[in-house]
Amino acid sequence: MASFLVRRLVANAIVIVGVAFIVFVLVFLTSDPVRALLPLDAPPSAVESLRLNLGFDQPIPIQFLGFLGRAIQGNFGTSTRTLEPALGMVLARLPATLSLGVAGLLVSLLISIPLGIAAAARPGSWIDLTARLVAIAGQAVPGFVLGQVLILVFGVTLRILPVSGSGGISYVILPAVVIGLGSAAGLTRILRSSLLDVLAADYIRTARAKGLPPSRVMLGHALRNAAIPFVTFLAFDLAAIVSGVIVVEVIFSYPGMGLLVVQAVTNRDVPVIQAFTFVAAVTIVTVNLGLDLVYGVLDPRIRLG
Amino acid sequence: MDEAWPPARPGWHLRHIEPAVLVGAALVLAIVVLAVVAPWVSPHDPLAQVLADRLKPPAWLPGGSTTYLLGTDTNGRDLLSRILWGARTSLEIGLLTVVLGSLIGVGAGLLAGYRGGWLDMLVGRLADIQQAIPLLILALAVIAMVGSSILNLVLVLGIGSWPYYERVVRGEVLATRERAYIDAARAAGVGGGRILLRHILPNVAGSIIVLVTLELPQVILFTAGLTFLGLGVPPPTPEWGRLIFDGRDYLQSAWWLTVEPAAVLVLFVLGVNLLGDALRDRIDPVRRQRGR
Repeated sequence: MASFLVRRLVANAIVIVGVAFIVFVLVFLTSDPVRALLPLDAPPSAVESLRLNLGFDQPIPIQFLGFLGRAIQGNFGTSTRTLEPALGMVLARLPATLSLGVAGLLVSLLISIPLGIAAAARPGSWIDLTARLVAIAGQAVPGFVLGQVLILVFGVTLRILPVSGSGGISYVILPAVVIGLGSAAGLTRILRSSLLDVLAADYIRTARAKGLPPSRVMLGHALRNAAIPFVTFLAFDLAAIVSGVIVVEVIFSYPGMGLLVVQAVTNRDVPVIQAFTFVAAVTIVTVNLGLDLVYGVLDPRIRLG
Repeated sequence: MDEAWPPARPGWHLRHIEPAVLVGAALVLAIVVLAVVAPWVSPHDPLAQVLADRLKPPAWLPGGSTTYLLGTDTNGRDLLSRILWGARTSLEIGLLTVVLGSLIGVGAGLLAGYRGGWLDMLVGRLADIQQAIPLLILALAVIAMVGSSILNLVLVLGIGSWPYYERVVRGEVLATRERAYIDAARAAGVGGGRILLRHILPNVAGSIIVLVTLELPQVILFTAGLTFLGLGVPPPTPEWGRLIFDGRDYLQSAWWLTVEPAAVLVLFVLGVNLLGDALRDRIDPVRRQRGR
């Protein structure tokens, strides 16, 4: 298990340095990197002093090492709008975004696991058909359309849920449903098909033959083995969930990292955009590492192999 | 698996085709044809503003008229014409992006899978790095720097989606390159490039087609999402996401501004998904052998 962990950590460190390089390169896409990092009304002397300070007169590899060094210390420069440290601004919004993401994931799991199991238990039944419809609808209806429909129904017509801002559970419900329904679509399909594959295996026939009740066979034997493709897909789905959170935060004016970065993009607040991109990637890499460990628990072959 | 004698493919007879596939094909075909012929069939100029006719409801609602079948927007532009022209923009971006992404991804996947070794390692690491940044965030950051235009969108979404193709193609190449006919070709003195293009590529083409059908609606949804965040296709060019975005302040008073373009977008994505599912069931070799 230890060497498995070390290998994963090294691979993830390489990925994070690569991400840092992409974030570093971003400013070179503008006409003058130094100007992009300063407020529009910054005096020429400030531009020149930052140019020397950040080493923009140095060769690119040296500049990148400098950037990497500052990034490791959590220094992405200051916001060109508020002049606060960019990373601090992003991290201040992290808890709000994480809780929204986790709530969305919960909704997704609460829909996909029971629906996937029920659909696999009786393929071809009405519940299987329902699962298929949920999957098709969830994939075809984009979050920003679903979000607006929910706002119209629950916020404007029924007036039972708040439609913008934050402050308690009730503000999280609609955004979490939008994220959850989108992600549940794929997860339900994956769980159904991997359960069907597992249910055809010999050891399931044995379990049935020795007289175990169908619920024990499904939950005790089949589900555990079908969980691996499910977790793989979940890891794959993570980027989609993060993207969904950004869009949903904008629809519901939910004050998380997504809303912050969209405002930063409108203002061309480059340090905040850089800090956000980096934080988002590190979050994804970290969660993926967590899922790798879950694999190790689910399947001994992975942690030993 | 018995490589030498592959099972016969199920035929494409009409009676084997599920109704869902026919519905999917009809939806996709109808929308693509309408997009192609938009310049000739759209009743109005999609950019022409008739301020006297602002926010007209669709023809079937009270106050609507047959001049504007689907109503007009806040600037008095004909919504039907904008949806038709918007289909052109959305499909154009989708197709160009998928072509660019698949060219890079398939090329990288073929090379990584066939050559293996350090090249495979390098490509795999690059894909890992790229995939650590969700495409939407990468697009947000890049577009914020270079500005939004259709070309910039295609470039960032196309280049950003290569790992998706690379992973699948690499896997398929690994499975294909050990087969007897590849050994035979190599023994006959066929060069590496020719083996890749003439012997391996045709065998992974089916998977690439499936990937493309899965990716195309994603790209169109992505573009619409980016526009929704204010970074996609710049106004006044009609694009599905732009139309949905423009309607969001009028959900109560003029719901058709949002619902009509959203319905077309959803129907198109639905159609491509239905088709893609059917193709995947046919082409995915594992499922095909199980007869599912």
